[in-house]
Amino acid sequence: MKVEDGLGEVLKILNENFYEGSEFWINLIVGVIGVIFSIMAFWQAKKAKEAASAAARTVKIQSLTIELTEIAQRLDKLDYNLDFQSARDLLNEVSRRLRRIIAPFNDRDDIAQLKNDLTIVISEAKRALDNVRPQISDDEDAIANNIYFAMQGHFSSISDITADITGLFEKNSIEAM
Amino acid sequence: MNNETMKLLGNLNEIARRSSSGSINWIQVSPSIFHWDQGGGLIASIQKASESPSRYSQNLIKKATLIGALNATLEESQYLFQVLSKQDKGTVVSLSSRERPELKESLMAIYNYAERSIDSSANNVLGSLLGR
Repeated sequence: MKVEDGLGEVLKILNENFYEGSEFWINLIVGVIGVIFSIMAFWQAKKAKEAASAAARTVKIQSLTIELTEIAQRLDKLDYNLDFQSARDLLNEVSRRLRRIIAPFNDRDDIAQLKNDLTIVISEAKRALDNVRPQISDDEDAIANNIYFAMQGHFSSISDITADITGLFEKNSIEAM
Repeated sequence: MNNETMKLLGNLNEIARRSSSGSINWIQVSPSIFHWDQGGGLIASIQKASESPSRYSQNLIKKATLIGALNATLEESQYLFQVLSKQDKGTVVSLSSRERPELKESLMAIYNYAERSIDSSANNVLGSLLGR
């Protein structure tokens, strides 16, 4: 008798549709909510990663902007008694630093134009410097401001372009916020 | 132009004239700078500096070159004439065509004659080497 009752119960359960039970719907709802939360967590993580990347880029650009400002200040505070060696060292240093700063942005059209201008101006500055290269090894009568007179305009042009690049970087930083 | 400026121009033109006649001995101390040791404790210097064309000029050159309308560059030269006291190393006179455009032609003439006088000196040396 007990066996028959048990089999009857089993047959009854087997004949019922699985979706007619409340447990199925509870489990389904919990599962769907779990999937929704997982998708939301994925999107939030993706957005957080993008925000972190943007912040890192902004910080990098800001540090480059600071370096560019420092270069422009060095160029603006040109010593009136500038000698050939100092002018050569300054030009080489500024040229090297500016090229390094711009290099990662070569594929951008706005930077490419400025880089082209910068290349021309630096090339002219090097030519001007060559024109005041001392031909006498120990020229006691060297006049102090000859180098300043030859180089001041060129350093000023490099400073102008540096300011343009700084402005472009600052604009990008503002837009990234 | 006042009398003093006229007198200054006259003196500069006289230096240019004497440079052309070879009575002033210019020495080239760098490719664009010439010195004249006057002997009385003063040294004169004439220098040419090429101005960097402005960004606007550069763009103009690029555009003009593109349409084939302009081959010459807009590069401009400036000249600086200075007199240095050998005793205290101080600059006694400083005349720049940047600040004094009215002196530019005279300063340019001095520079050009100084440049030529170097060639003349070189020819004299080479001539003596060759026994001419």
